[in-house]
Amino acid sequence: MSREPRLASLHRRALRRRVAIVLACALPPLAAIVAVCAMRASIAAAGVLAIAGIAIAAWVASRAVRRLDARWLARALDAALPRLEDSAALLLREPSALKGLEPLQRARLATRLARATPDLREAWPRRAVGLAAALAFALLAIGIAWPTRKPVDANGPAAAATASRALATRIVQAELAIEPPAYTRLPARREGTLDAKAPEGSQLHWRLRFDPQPSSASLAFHDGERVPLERDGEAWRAQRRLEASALYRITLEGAPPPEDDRLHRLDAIADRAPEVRVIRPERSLTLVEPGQQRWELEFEADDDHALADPMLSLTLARGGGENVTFSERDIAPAIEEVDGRRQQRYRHSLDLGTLGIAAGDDVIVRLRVADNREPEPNTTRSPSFILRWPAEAAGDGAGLEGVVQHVLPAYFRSQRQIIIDTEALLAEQPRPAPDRFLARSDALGVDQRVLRLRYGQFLGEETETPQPPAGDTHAQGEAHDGAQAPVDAHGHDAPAPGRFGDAADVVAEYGHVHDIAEAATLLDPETKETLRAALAEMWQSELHLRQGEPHLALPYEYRALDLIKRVQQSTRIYLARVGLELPAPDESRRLGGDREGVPDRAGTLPRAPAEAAPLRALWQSLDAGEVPDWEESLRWIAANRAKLPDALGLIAAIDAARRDPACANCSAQVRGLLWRALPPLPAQSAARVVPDAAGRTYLDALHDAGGDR
Amino acid sequence: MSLSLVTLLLLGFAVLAGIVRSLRDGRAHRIARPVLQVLVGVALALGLFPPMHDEPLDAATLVVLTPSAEAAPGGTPSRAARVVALPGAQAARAIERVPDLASALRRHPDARRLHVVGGGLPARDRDAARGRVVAFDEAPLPAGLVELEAPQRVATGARWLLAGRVARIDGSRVELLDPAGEVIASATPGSDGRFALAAQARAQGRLLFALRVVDAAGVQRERVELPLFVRDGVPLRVHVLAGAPDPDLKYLRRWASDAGLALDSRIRLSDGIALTEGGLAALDPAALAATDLVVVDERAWALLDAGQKAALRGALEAGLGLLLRVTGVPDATTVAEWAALGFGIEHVAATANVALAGMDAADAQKLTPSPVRVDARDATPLLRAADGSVLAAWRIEGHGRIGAWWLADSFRLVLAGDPARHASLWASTFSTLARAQASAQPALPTRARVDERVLICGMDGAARVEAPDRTSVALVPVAMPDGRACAAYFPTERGWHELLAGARRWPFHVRGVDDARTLAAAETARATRALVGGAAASTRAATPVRLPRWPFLLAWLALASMLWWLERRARAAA
Repeated sequence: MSREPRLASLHRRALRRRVAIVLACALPPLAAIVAVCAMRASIAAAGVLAIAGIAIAAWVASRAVRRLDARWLARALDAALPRLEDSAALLLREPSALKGLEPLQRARLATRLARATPDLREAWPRRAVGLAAALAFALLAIGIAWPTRKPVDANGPAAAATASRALATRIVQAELAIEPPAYTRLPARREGTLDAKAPEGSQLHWRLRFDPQPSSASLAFHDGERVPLERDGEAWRAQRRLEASALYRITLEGAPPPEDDRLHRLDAIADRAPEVRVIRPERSLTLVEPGQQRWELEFEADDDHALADPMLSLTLARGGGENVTFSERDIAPAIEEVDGRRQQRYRHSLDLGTLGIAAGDDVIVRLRVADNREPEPNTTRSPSFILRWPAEAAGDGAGLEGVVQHVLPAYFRSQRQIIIDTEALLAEQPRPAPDRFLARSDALGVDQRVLRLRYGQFLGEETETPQPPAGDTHAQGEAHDGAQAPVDAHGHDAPAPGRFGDAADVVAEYGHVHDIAEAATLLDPETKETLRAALAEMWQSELHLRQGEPHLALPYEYRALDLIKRVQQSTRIYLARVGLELPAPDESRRLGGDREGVPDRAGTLPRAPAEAAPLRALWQSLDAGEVPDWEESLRWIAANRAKLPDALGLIAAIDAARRDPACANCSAQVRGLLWRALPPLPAQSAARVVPDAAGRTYLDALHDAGGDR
Repeated sequence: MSLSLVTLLLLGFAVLAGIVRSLRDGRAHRIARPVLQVLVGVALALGLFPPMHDEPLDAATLVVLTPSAEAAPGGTPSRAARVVALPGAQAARAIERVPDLASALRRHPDARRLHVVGGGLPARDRDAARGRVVAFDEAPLPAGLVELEAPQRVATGARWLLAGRVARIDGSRVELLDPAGEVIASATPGSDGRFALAAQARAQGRLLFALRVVDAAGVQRERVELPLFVRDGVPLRVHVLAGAPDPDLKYLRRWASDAGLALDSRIRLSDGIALTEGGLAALDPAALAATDLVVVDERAWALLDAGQKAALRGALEAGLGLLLRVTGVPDATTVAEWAALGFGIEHVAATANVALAGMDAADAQKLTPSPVRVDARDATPLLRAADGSVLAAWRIEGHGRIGAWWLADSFRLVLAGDPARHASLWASTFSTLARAQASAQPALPTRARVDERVLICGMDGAARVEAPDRTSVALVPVAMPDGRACAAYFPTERGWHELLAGARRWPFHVRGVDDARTLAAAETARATRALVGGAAASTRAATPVRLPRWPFLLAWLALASMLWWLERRARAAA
C-alpha cells in the first residue's frame, strides 16, 4: 500500500509510543519478580522466568501494535484534524481506485495535511505506569522482607553462638607443616587443620594468621607446656617436636580468643618394631639327617618404615656332658627385597662341612633385625632354632654299669685329707726311714701347695704354670703372694686340655682375674680376710711339711681347716623363716572340750574400693543434666592416663563440653568416651514391688486355702 | 419417578421415534435399520443401568486393605466383596478409602467379620477390630530384624540378655554396640534367624545401645536403637546363716559386700563359735521384720531352736524372703520341716555335672548340683541347667517367698572368669525372693514411637511427661474398667521422655519414625495375627451385584457405528 511518507511517519511514531507504553507497564514488575526469584530461588529459575516474561510482554506488545492498523490511522487523523472532514480514509486508499469526487477530495486533504502537524501518539498513561512501578517496588519489598525459613541443623545454636561472639579472633590461615624424622623417608606435608597425626619425633611447624592481630600468641599444651608463637610479618610461627600425643590450644593476648577455641589434638604414631616371620626351618629343633650337608634358613621381616641390615647369630655348642664349649659368630644373610626396604626376605644356606660340626654338637641360630629408627632402633629377635647332630650312644660302655667317665678326677687332696695323712705319717710305727719320712712329708707339702694355689685363686692371686698334680715338684717356681705378683706370669698362652676340676682353665677362659688380690671382687672383705688367713696357715703348713717336720705343720693345718670351714659357711645365705606362725597350743586345754574364752571371729570382708569414683560422678551428673565437677574428673584422668583407653580424647571432649555447656553433642561425646572408661560394677539386686490391695487379698486367700488343706 | 426411569423412558421414546422415522423415509434397509435402532437402545440402557447378578458373598464380611496389601497373597479381593482401604494401602481408585477402621465399621454397620489383607492393622485400629477378624492374608515380612526381646530397665551391673530374629538376610551377623559405638558383642543368627546376645550395664543412667544387622558382604542392613534405663539397685538387708564355711559362701559374701547389700552373716566354725559379719541380730520377730532375706543352709537350720524356726516362719508369712541352701543331705527333722515349707528333699546317690542354661556349649562351665532331689511341685523354677533340670525354685508362702537352691558350686563361675554372671545369678535370685518394698511404678510404654499414641497407666495423682526438648505436657488420667488410671500421650519427638509423677521421674524412650521399621512391621503383623479368630462363623449367601458396564457400552458403540453406516448407505442410495 503506497502511503504518503508523512502519514507513514505519523503512524510509526504512534506505534512506537504504544510499544513504549506496554513495556513501561510490563517491565518493572517483571524485573522485580525476576530479581526476587534470583534472590530466593536460583539464578537459573530467574533466567527462565525472565525469558518467559519477555516473551509474554513481546506478545502483548505485538497484539497491541496490530490494533493500530490503517483504519485506526484514518480515525485518528479524523479525530485529530477536523479539517480532514472525516475523509482521512481516502488518503489511505490507492489513488487509482478512487471514483467520482474522491480524487478531488483526496488532493484537498493532502494539502491540508501537509500544512497541519497532528500528533497521533497516545498520551502516556501516567496512572498505569505509576501503578506498575509501585507494584514492582512492592514485589521487591515483599521478596526481601519475607522471613526466610532457615534450615535447622545441629550447628544452628553453635553458629548463632559464633555470631553472637562477634568479637572472636578469626584464624585466617592455619597451616601445620609436618616434617617426619629423616629416617622414615616420609615426605613432609602440610595440613590445613590444627589437628594432625604424625610419626613420633616429627618436627611440627605452625604458621597462623589472625584477624585482628594479637599482641602475642602461644600454643598451650595440655600438660602445661607453652610454645610461644613468633611473629613473622603477618604470620605467626612456632615449632615443636612431637614426642608423644598431645592436646593444645591457641592462646592469644591483646585480642579476643580465637573462634575455634577447642583443644586440638596431635597424635604421635609410634614406630613399630620389625616383625619377623620364620619360613624355614619349620620346627625349632631339627635333627641332622644322614648325609646332610647344608641347612637352609629363610626368614621374612617387615617394618613400617625401613629395615636395617639383619644379622644371623650362630652359636655352635660342641662337646657333651659337662664339657661343652660354645662359639658364636654373626653372619649376614642374603637379602631379597619384597617391598623395598619395608619388607625383606632373608636366606642363608649353612654349610655344615665348613662349620665343622660333629656328632653331639648343636648349631643354634636366631635372626636379629633392627629398623632404621633414630636415635635408637627397634630390634626384634626371632626365636632360636636348633640343628642337632645327635650324640652317638656310648657304645664302648657296654657291659659296664653307668657311663664311662672320660674325665680325670680331681687331683688334689682336701685340707682334712692332708691332716689325716699327716697324722697317719706321725703315728706310723715303726717310724719310717728319715729319707722316706722326708719324701712322704714333702709329698704332703706338694698337696698342701696345690690346695693353697686353688684357694689363692679366689683371692685373685696369679696362678702358676698349670701342670699335672703328679708332676715334678722340684720344677715348680715359687708361688707368689698375690700382692707382689709379677705381671709376666700370665699362664694363658698355652691352654691346657680341659679337665674336670682344672680351675685354672675355667678362670682363663671365663673369669680371668687379672687384678690384684685386694681388688678381687668375688668375695666380701670379711670372707677375703678369713681366706687370706687360711692361706697364711697353709703357707706355714707347707713350709714345715717340705722341711720334713709334719708335727710342726699339724697346728697350721688344723687352723687352715677351721678357717676354710668358716669361709665355706660364710658364703651361705640364711633366710629367716616366714609363713604360718601358729600360736603355741594350750596343752592344758587341748582335747579337753573347754571353749571358755574362745569368742566368735569377726569377719574381715573389706569393702571393695570405689574405682574411678570421679568418672562415675561425672557420668551421673551428665546423665542427670547437672553441671559436673570437671576439675575433679580432669585431675583423675590426668593421674590415671595409662589406665584409660583414650585419655586424650576424653580430655578434649570434656574441654569442649565444658566450654560450651549448651552443646548437647559435646556432652553426648563425653558420655560415649566415659562409658568405655568406666570399670564394670558388680550386679546389684533390686526389690520387687509391694503388691497392691488386690494382690494382698489374693495372697491372703491363697494362704488360707493352703492352711485349710 | 426416579432418574433411571425417566432416562429409560426418554431412551425408549428416542428409539421409537427413530423407528418411525426409519420406516417413513422410504430409504433402503427398511428392516435392518429399525432393528438396529432397538438394539442400540437396549445396549445403551444396559450400559447405563447394568443388570444385577447374584454372586455368592458373605454380606457381613468387610475386606480391609492395609499397607503393603499389594504384596499379600490374595491381594485382589473378589469383586463382590465389600472392600475398604486404610490409609497407606495401595488400592484401585474405585475402592472405598477410610481414615481408620472404626470409620469403616460405622459406614458398614452390618460388617461383623473382617478380612484383613496386607501388613496388618495398625495399633489404632486393633481395638475396633477385636473379635471381628476372621482371616488375615499377610504380606511377607520385610528383610531385617523382625523380633527383638530386650529389657527396658535393669539394675546397675546386671548382665542383660537380648534375643531376636533376623528374617530374609542370608549370612547375616548381628552386632551389639555400646553407647560409645563400639561393638561389644556379636552373634551369627542360626538357620531360623534367631540370635542371643548379652552385655553388662556398667553405669547407672539412660543409655542407648544399638543393634546392627550386617549382611554377608559386610554391609549394614539395619541399625536399631536399644534404649536401656539402668538404675541403682536397692541395698537389701540380708542375713546369712551357714553351718560351715564353704567356697560358695565366700564368693556369695564377696558379691553381696561389693554390690552394697547390708549383709549380716553367721557361719559356724565350731560348736558355739562362728565367723560373723555385720551386726549380730538375734532371730526374733523384731529383727526379722527389719530383714529382707534370710539365707540358711541345712546345717544351720538344724541348729536353730524351735522359737527361732517359728519366728522365721512367722516372718516369712509376713513378707520375709527365705532361701534354703541345700548343700548336702539334711537330717530327718530338717527334711520334715522343709517338706512342710514345700520342698521335699531326698538323697540321691550322685548327680551329673550340669551347665547353666543360656551359656554357649563350648565355654560352659560345668557345675555340680548337691546330691539331692528336690520335690517342689508348686514352685516356680528360679535357675535351670542347660538340660532343663531345675537347680533352684521358689514358691509363695503367705506374703513372703521361700526358695530352695541346690547348686553347690556357683563360685566356679567366678573362678572361670565370669564374675558378672555369678553376680547376676545371685542378684536376680535375691531380687526375686527378698521382701517386697519397692513402690509400684507406672506402666510405661515399651514400644513408643513418634506420632503413635501410647498409654501410660498406674499413676496416682497428677503426672506430666517431659519431652527431650524440656517441654512438658500434663496427662489427663482416665479410670479404666480395671480400676487403673491411664492416660494417653502422643509423642512428637524421638529420644528419652520422662514421666514426672510426684517427686519421681520415670524415663521412657520414644523411637523415631524411621527407627526399626521392619520390627514395627513385624509387630503389626504379629498383633494382627493374634486378633484372628473369635468372630462368628461366616454365613455364605448370594448377594446381588451389578454386572460391569463396559461390555454393554462396547456393544452399544459397535451397534451405533453399524447403524450410522447403514443410514449413510441409505442416504447415499436415495
